[in-house]
Amino acid sequence: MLRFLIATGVTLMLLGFGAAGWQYWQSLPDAPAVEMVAETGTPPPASAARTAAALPQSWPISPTGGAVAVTDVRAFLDQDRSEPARSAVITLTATLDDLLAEGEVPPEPVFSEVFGDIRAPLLAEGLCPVLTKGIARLCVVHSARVVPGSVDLARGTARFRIELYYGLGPDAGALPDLALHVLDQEPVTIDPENATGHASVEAALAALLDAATAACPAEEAGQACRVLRLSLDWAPGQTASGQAQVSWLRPLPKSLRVAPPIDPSPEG
Amino acid sequence: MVRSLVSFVMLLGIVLGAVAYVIRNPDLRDQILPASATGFLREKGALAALGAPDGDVLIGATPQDFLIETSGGLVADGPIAAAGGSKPVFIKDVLSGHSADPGSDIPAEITTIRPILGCQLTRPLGGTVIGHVTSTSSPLTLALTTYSDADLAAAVQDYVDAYRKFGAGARLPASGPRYQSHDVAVTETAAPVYLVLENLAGNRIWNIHLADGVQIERVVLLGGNQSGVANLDPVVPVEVILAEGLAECGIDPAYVPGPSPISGVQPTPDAATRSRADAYDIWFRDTFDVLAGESRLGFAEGAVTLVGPVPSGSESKAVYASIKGARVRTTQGPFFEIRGQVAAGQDFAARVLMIATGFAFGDLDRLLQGGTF
Repeated sequence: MLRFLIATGVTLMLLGFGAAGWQYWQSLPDAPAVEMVAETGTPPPASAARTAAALPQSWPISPTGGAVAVTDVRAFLDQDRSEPARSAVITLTATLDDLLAEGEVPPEPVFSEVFGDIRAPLLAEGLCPVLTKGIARLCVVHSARVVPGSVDLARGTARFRIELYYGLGPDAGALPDLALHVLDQEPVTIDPENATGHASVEAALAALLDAATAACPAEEAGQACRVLRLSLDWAPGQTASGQAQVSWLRPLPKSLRVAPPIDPSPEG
Repeated sequence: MVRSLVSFVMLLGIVLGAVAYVIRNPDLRDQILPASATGFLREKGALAALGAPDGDVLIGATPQDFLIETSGGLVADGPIAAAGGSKPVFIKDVLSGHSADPGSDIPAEITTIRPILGCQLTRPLGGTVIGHVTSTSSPLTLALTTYSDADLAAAVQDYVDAYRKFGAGARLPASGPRYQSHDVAVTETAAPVYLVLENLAGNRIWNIHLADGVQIERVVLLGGNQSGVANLDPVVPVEVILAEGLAECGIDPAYVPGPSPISGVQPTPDAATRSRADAYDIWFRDTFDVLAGESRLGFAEGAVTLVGPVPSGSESKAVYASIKGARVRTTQGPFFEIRGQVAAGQDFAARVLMIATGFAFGDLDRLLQGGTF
């Protein structure tokens, strides 16, 4: 009887500890923890190992002396990695038949929206070349989707939203000492005179880029002028509207001064 | 040898005692055993043999204990049926042999019926009792599925969204929109019953269970995407106007919330809801001789509704009739499936995959987005 009780006890202990050990083993992470989680709450890609803190003097201040959002700092400073704050968002109207392959029959109307959503990247194919011919060294289509509920069955059209990430070329210019400068930003709107008559969304995007880059040599522009956050709304035969956010560095205003670093005194 | 035998018997006794304790304790049982196992034990009479409470009904509980009031209406959260005045009663008190799991039941015969042409329904005869049942949702899901191109398009979009998020790990939908079953227990024997079964959302099969002596004059199915009846005498006529047809007829089903059977509070509807409900009341009265709001029975979400008095004494309960082997008359979408009886590549998930792949030029990876450098 005693042996039976001991054997039962040992068996139950083995089962219990075995189950606990198995649960612990299963709970171990598959891979080493990611070094940093971006403010967006999503882990950065492998290329993002270089954090904002690792950038040279990565915290320029605003003209009013306030802190600049880390997303803006990254978009301005780090041109080697894609940043949501440095993107071109293009909303356009296109004909669904333009998305058909040669000889392909259009889908039933009820499928038009999902068809447009799946084929939307075709509309983005000509947009990155516009950026790389102009200001960008790198460009990638981040997303291309149909705008939900935008299908016009009578006209056979739909609205699409395309988001491109780009990195500026090396001529973006060397950076001065950020501690002695402030980061300024200004919106640039597409010139209404140039807004009409663009036969294609590519032409309208090129016009917006021209307007944005033209703002840089202006007298009020500071150093390291960089084009960020392009947005364009285009439809065939209608006036295009677009805006760009242009950022540059200005010398530190006289009313501001650099605070000495807060270090422990030598005496400890 | 003897000691080992005694030890074994003791161990067996401990194990059996633990099992019996679990089975007799409904809370513990529901936590440990899957619903299918509990159903099996109930079906085999094991629960009764062990003296365990049948189903989820706790000893000493009242039907009101299983009624929940939500912003969407009253929800039956247990073995209760809706009786007159939205009062809950235990299902076992009005319907004998009820099954809460018809998910694998396959009907013997399915007949397709079509909505009526126009908007004029056959009026009830004089002296008829109107049994007006409404239901927004039922927890009883059947093995029958029906869908249209619009359902497929929505499912393809969901799959595309999932593929963009999870890649090849995205899951295809398990099935298209399934029919839900709603049990209608009829105990009214004083006069023939004219049933108006109003489906406020989705696909619904109304499963009719009659007490002795009940006569059904006619069944009218209103609303929903698709609607049908099961276990109804084939000679009883059925007329249907689905939600699409109601809209085309300018009929907008609307109700002013009644007083809460739990708190007794009467909600104050806004003017627009009141106006819609009044208009619907007028159409309903002109068609069925009763007001919609006053005659309606049923919870927003529930499995069983009682038409007629709660049986007492010698009065007979309605007798449950299973979907399994039943005759079903129902409207259908362009596609209809019975689980387990669909040819390979012809089911809902296969169609979704085929459409998504075709739109993506044969390569689902073209769906992926989120490009970065």
